[in-house]
Amino acid sequence: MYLHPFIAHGSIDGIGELWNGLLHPLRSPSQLLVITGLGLYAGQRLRFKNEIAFFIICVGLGLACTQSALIPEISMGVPCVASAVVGAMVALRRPFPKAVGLIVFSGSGFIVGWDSAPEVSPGWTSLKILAGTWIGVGVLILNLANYASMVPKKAWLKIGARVLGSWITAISALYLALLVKR
Amino acid sequence: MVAVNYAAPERDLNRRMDSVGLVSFRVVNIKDANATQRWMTHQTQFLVAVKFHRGKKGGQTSNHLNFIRFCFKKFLPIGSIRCRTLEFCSQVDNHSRTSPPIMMTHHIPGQQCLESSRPQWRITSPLLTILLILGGGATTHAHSGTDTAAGFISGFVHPLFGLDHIVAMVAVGLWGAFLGAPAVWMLPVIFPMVMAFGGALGVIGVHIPAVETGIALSGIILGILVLFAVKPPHWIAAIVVGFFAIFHGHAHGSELPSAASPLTFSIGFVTSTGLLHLGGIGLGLLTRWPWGKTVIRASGAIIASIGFCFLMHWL
Repeated sequence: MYLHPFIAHGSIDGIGELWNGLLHPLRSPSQLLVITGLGLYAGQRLRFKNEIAFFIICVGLGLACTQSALIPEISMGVPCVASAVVGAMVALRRPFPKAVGLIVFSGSGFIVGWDSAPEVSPGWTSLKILAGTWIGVGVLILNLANYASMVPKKAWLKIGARVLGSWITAISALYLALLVKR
Repeated sequence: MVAVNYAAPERDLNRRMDSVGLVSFRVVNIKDANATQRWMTHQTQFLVAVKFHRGKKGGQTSNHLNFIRFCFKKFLPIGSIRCRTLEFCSQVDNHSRTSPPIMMTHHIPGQQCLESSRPQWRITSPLLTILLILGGGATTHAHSGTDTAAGFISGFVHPLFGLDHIVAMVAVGLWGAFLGAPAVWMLPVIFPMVMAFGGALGVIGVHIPAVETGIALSGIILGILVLFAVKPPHWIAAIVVGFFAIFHGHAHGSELPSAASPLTFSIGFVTSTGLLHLGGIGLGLLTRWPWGKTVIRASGAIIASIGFCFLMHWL
């Protein structure tokens, strides 16, 4: 748990650019919160193919934007705003309209991609990192959604998922407050 | 009453304390949050010695001594220490004969450091040396450019240094278990979210009156609710828990340091709080047995008593 936002975007020596990209979402706690929340939300809904597809596409768009200099560098608090919203949705477990789910997944995907800018100048190296990140995020969200879809079969797991959602929101709110204080 | 002597500027310590080493140490006095925040803002690394005086309530001193020893041994290198009964002093004073030789005594204006002519317990210099060496691992962290209160572990231990907070959070779990589904999950879902909201208010400096009283009352009322196995409608239970969660969150939020790693600190903080609830729910599962209900209700009485002691400033 000694993840640190400042080193989250660093690299691990000796494993190559692709693997660094693959592991990037696991080394970035703010992204991990978003993806975990989305996975839990998708699992609660059971049918989540469209949402996941939108999410992965928007992650790709966000990653592409980081290389195009079209958008500025993302603020540290933006991913936590997304995770706060997603966590609240998981905790509430209300039947939100499908459009809301699609918007949340798309927006969160873009933010995750936007937040994954490699610290190297655009080129073959950054392309490999971005490809790895895209694959890593996709694999992670699919796995989480798949496991979370097993949750509704157990009553206590449903409770656990909602508690986790509330924790994600609480963590995000506290983090945002601390950022404001800084 | 306990007085804490600390030596602050780091450069002085480096000159004078080569054989002992430095310990990064943070003390939070929630009785005077503003003074503490000022103090914490200016100084993040201290070499700490603790001098114990026999106060009016001499019986407490032994507990404080054990607490400090425990903190030195277990948590100094990695975490923050929160102790409501420590007094801070910030005005340079001459070394007294009973003080460790390297210490400077400080006084914050308006705060009085209670002195006693005959100290009953004292950490003398050899023991102090041992304690500081035990805590010397923090030196590495202190020079890494990050706040010692940063990180997951610091956030995780932060809620664990307040008995009033602990009993209230456990009481939430116990009460939820008494209320049964869906309250058993509803309350632990609501509490962290509202507490984080209160924490955010505290962090950004929004004033809430009588926070300490609210925290003490939360222990009393939640303890009584558990004691009498009160089963109100769930929405009322949610409002009661949410109301008290704001006080707890605000108290924590106003004490939170400017953590170098706010996110991991927040993760540890919320996880710890949530696990306290789960601990309460786990205990609450005893309600399925008749003897277990008695145990839980007795726990409610204990919690209410602790809350009352905090309200009367006996703890």
